[in-house]
Amino acid sequence: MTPLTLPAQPETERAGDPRPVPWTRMAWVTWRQHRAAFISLPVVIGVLSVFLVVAGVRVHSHYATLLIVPAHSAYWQELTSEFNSEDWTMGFTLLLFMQLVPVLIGAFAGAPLLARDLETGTFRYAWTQGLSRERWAIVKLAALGLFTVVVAAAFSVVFAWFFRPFIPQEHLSLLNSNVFGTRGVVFAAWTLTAFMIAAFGGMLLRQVIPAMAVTIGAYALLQLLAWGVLRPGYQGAGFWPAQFIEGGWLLALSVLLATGTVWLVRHRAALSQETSMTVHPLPARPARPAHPGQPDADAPIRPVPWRRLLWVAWRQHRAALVSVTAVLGVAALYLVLMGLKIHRDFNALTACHPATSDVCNGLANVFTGVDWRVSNGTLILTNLAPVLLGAFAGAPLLARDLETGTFRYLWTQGAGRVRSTVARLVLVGIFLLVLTAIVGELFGWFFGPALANASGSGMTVLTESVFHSRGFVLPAWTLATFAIGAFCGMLFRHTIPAMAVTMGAYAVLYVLTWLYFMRWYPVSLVTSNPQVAQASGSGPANIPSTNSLILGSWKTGSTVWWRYIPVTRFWPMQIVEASWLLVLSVLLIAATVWLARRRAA
Amino acid sequence: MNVIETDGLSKAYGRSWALIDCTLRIPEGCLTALVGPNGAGKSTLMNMVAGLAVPTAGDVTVLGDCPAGAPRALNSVAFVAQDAPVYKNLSVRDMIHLTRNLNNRFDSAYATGRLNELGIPLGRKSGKLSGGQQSQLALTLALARKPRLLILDEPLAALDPLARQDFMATVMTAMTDDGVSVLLSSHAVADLERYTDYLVVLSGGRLQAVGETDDLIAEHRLLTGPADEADRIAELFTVVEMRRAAAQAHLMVRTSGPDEAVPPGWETHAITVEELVLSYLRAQRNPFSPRRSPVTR
Repeated sequence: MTPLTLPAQPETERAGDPRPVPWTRMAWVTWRQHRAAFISLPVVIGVLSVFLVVAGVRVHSHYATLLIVPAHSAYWQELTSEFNSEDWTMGFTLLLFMQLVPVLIGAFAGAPLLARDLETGTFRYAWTQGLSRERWAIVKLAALGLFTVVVAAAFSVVFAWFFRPFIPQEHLSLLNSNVFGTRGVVFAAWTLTAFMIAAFGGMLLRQVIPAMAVTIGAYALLQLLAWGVLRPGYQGAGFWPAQFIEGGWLLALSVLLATGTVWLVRHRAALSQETSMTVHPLPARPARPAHPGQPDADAPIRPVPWRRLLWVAWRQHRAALVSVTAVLGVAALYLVLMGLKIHRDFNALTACHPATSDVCNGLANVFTGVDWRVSNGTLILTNLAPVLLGAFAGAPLLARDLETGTFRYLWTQGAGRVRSTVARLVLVGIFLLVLTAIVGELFGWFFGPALANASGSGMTVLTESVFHSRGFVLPAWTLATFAIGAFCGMLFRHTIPAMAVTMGAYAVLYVLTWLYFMRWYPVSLVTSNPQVAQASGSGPANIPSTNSLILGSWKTGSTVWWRYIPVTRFWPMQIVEASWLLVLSVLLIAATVWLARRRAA
Repeated sequence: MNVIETDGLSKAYGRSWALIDCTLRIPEGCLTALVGPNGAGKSTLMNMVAGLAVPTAGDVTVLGDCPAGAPRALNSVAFVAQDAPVYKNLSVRDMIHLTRNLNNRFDSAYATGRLNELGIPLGRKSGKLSGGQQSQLALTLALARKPRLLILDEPLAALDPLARQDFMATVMTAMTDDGVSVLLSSHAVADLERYTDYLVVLSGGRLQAVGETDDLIAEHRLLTGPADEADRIAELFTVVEMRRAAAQAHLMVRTSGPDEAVPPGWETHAITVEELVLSYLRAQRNPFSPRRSPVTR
């Protein structure tokens, strides 16, 4: 964020009420103050759009060929399976990613809007200018809110074009809960709502990072509410009526939140109370000591013990560590309670005889309906845990000290900057590792029944979302993201850009891993027999089978070779991925310490 | 032993030089005032002495032979940066614990006693303290480390006159009791006049004058005499600054000692630290060369 500057405002002096500062000038101020956000948001969205257009051209041409080729011919089948595997994998991943875009835009644009001024104390400047603080807040909310809505709407149009072939080909309904939110007016409305939640949270909490965390939580709850409770009520009306109903209530909620924010701005109490100083008489100028003390000039310096530095790290990050534990504790409780229910349902279903009876059908409906949706929703949330935990814990770790100047205190203490930095990184890193390992184990147990019954959907323990939500890999990704965050924080010296870059870097690394790195894991096998690769032996050749993960195929002469990973190699694959992530984390942490060591003030 | 030694110390930020070729020998047990206008390079010099910044060229050692920023230096040098940074979300008590745990040597009893004496509540968050109290907190935390060198960057800037007295009183007590050497920067010369033992005048990134305050005062003299003789007189002395009015000229000169003869027809005045510093700073802004041909009137 650029520092706050304001042009001279020569106000014409008149008797009576002063003329309010014109809106146009305030718009300029808003632009100047949030220039970084105004520029970086369209740049990021623009890059994503270009990617969507490039990928979309490919998808559209595949789909067009598919329509021309005679149906059910061998070539048609080959094309269809190709479309359903490669293109649809990308399409589905991007569809899931689209669900996150509103909350990311909202949190990054909205949370710092007012909270930064409050945090840095610049509100003392901003709120004492020749205009009321409410007007200032209204202009900021309106300008940035409108901007995010426009950008989001444009992006959803691009995405809708990209996604169009998948709707008939994958037999999706426009009312599908994932698809519905990415189109029409709803996507922009969700973005606006997230933005307003973030602005309100920032005003309420007066701190950027907690406001961002709360925004993400509140948004997730609101989504659950919409999916589970509200949408079933109006989806029967059809796509566009439902769109307008949902857009309408989101807009109303946004207006309410904006009003609440402005109200908070108006009523925020003045500054902290201050107590008076005790005055002491001035002593006489002392004579210079004849023999200045030489306590231990030549004694070897004993380094400050790690135990004490760990206490310091704990005290500095207590709030963050306690709140992460609380959130994950609630998540664990949820996993246990919900897991018990799902296990009970599953056991009842497997024990039920005969399988075609009405009672058994009823049990099966519960299990494939509610239980499956809950399991799947939890799966998505678990997949987000590494990037959220990593970015929120890692990016501010050092960046906040650099931003607020407290590094001048910290780095000039006897412990030295290297040791205190190492202590902080290690404490928070290990803390995250342990917590996510526990959550990952719980999730593995929780998701067991869903996985056992998911053979129809082709989901195995090697499916990317399942693979990454348990075992060694979940804590390893969390640690790696944390290390990326700490490194970016040290590099950029500002929390918000560091968080944004961390999330981007995580996404890139994740996609690269899935698309390329995995081929080089020494756990994959090669065969020329598709039957072996699939092990189940049914269906077209390169649909991901139920028993192995197919990484790719190539031809030598007339033989087709397949590279695949059988599900029995789940643990070796986990160990390989966790190992290189661990090495990466250690390297990044070392680089962070190195940067801290040689960073000039 | 010299508490701070620099040799040709220089620092560049990007392409602009903040400090150029600074060579200093500051003896132990002094209160050294580092004075100069805004942007003179005071903070840069202090950051390098504290080990926060790395010199672009030259060397800096503290406490004899210890490179700045080395573990032994960090152990015995305390630094209070500009605006007294403390963790605003931590209570005063937590700040004490924090500093105790970050250092080998820390006198908790001193810190608590001193803060109680000042009436600073230990349970209050640091961010809720007044500006003066935050400065006192930062100073107390630094002194409780029992440093041998205390570096204070603009400690008085945010304080009212009474708080300034309080602050300096704490520093003075530490100097007499523990023999701490102090390096203190300020642009308010008048406040420091009666405390300083050693003076470093910095302007435009260069050293203008360095020395024991008493010696500098004794060496410098303000001469007042007829304006038309000014150039002739200027040849005889090292002139720091020359100001001419219509009839009279004022010359700030550096003499070899207090006994040097005053030219006939000229008056000599004793000078204050403030006058001395200001003439060096003015001279740097309008460079004066005695060899230059006289200005025609």
